[in-house]
Amino acid sequence: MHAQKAELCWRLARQLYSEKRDEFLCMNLIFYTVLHLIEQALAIHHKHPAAAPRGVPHADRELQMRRHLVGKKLLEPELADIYTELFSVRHTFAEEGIQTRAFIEHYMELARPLIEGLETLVKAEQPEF
Amino acid sequence: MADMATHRQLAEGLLQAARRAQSAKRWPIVIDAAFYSVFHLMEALNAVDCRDSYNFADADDLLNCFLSRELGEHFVQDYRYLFYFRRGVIYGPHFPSEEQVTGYLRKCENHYGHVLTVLNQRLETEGGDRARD
Repeated sequence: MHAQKAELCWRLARQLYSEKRDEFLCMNLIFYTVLHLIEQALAIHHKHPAAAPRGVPHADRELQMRRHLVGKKLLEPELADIYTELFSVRHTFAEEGIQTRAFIEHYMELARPLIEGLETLVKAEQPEF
Repeated sequence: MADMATHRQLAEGLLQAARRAQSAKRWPIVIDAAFYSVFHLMEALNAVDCRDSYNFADADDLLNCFLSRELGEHFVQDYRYLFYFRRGVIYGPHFPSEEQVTGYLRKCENHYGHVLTVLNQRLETEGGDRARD
């Protein structure tokens, strides 16, 4: 399920990015790609992040990623830091105004190494049936 | 967080994006854009009273504490539906049907219109009050 959603979100993110429109939604889709890849990697180890009431699990996802993926040396700490950066610069509440083209170009470049790293990780970790 | 005009502008753009993307294959865009169009318009209404949500729980609290009378019980109930449906399909294990995506967009369009009406009324009243001060 996470793999399917990561693939769908990444395809749509790249589509919006190449069409040069809807930067807010493109940013979200990049973030959703990352979160599904992280959760896919965690799920292989039977770990799932929790959310506070009426909230979303972004903070617990980071905690679990650092404990179970970085802690077990499955993911480089520098790649995990990218998640923190993606989360903190994601203007969900538009506090710095509406996302511009320059913002989304930076966001995309920031996310690419993490997405590639996570894709490699889940391929290597995926149990074979 | 943002000022009223930014939330309003973002909300309007998002509703247009949701309508443009309306197709079963692009459901994450439809659901995300439709939800955030309502969310940011609600935030625009909060901004009129100098309030901001720092997270979704805040937004729910602010709605229940300060906006429920203006926006009505039907909106309050439906906002929770919109929030949990988006969370379930974007973050959770669910894949929405085409009918659910269409219905979700329809609901968001209706609520967007409702909140915009309340916001415009409020701005007219505030403008009148400020002119009299």
